[in-house]
Amino acid sequence: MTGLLLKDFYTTAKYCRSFLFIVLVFLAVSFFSGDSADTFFTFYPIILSSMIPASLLAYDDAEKWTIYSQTLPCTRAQLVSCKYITGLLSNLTVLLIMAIRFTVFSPGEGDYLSLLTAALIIGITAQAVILPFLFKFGAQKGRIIYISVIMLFCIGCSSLSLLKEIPELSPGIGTFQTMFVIASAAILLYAASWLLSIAFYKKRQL
Amino acid sequence: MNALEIKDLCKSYPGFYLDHLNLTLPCGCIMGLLGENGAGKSTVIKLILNMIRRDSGSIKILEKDNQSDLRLIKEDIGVVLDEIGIPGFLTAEKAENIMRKTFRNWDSSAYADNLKKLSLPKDKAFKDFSKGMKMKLGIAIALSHRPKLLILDEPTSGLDPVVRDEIINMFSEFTREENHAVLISSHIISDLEKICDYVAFLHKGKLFLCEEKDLLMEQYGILRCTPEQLRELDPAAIKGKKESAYGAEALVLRSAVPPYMPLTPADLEQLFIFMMKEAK
Repeated sequence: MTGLLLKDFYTTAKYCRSFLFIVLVFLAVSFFSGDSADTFFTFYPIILSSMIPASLLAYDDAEKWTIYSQTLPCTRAQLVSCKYITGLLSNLTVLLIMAIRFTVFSPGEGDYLSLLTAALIIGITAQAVILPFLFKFGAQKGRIIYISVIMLFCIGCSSLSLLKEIPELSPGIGTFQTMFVIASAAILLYAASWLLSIAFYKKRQL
Repeated sequence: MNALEIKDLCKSYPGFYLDHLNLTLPCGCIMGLLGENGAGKSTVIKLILNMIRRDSGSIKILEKDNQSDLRLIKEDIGVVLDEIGIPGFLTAEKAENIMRKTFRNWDSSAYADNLKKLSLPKDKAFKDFSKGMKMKLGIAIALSHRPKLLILDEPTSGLDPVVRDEIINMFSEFTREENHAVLISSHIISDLEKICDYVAFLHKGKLFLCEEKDLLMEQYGILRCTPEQLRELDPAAIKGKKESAYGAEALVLRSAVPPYMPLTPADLEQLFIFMMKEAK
């Protein structure tokens, strides 16, 4: 599987370099922006990083690597796992950049742990929802579902910003227990998605 | 030991049915898989590699069931498909980095030798290769991890005659080891005629014929005569014919033709064309 991860690393470095630039720009904008835009610019980088495995799958399909990889000594479970591992690594990279942005450039402002936890939840949930569709239907058909998920997510983000203004609800959001429960659910969802993708890909006829 | 054993293999698609295919490829041999477009050659290769699910039957590669531990089996198989799906930005050098971490028995010096023999640059992006160069890189990779079985789907497609000849010789050299074997599917029948020990003709999903190449060519000959002379022959002796205003040409069983009718040797391409036309 190391070879497969190396191939995904090469592909990410080649085609997703601009993502890193956009992440840095967005986080810089979130630093300078007012409150109303903060949520969007803070969390959009994690959405971008959650797109990386989907982009890799699209490149694999386009370049016929999906077929060629069947001639190599790797299982379909390994091919799926590479994308999930790459997705986790890309999310963790963005979280690291976010952590630096908050601790170095905005020390003492707000609850960073909650923000990073929320970002991790968003990142892995987006991947957990999108990837099984891509492994079952292929990158082209799966994209339609992917875009629908992003739209739903943006609506969800706006709702979160609105909910902050409702005093009765806002104490409940961001508390440690709530974040812990949601984070645990997101991790379980990610694990279930991983297993589901393996099951789908094993049955897919290439 | 048999390198490949296919028993009663069936697979159906709308409009196509692979019908109880039985094929055996002994170690130390090269088998050519011939067939018209849509005969099922690529389907057979995909089934061997478990890229598609078989409806019934069994496939054993190097005496192991191809569904039980294909990952281990693929360590010993070198595969060249009709399209080499290496990412376009990769160079031969970067491709080697990936393959070295993928195959347990990767041989870097063999890879370097193969790149040199096939005149492939190490630092040129794959997308900038010509079709022939892409195929050559696929072949270089397939030969560089000490495989025991080569499965090749149109490996010489897009190659010039000089390079085709070199590659065919490489495949022939490969089977000098007793435990090596090659299954090669190709439309370039002259290449197959040079190296194959066995030939299998697929026609509309059925195995039309599977025979030792030399035996096949000994059994059959080409008869050129008048249509009236052709009608004198036992119809069972005629395996395919072409009649025109200028005469008749037929593929016939040598043993069934009277000695006064001179026969010319049939090459593999003639055998294939006559038989397939007759089968239609």
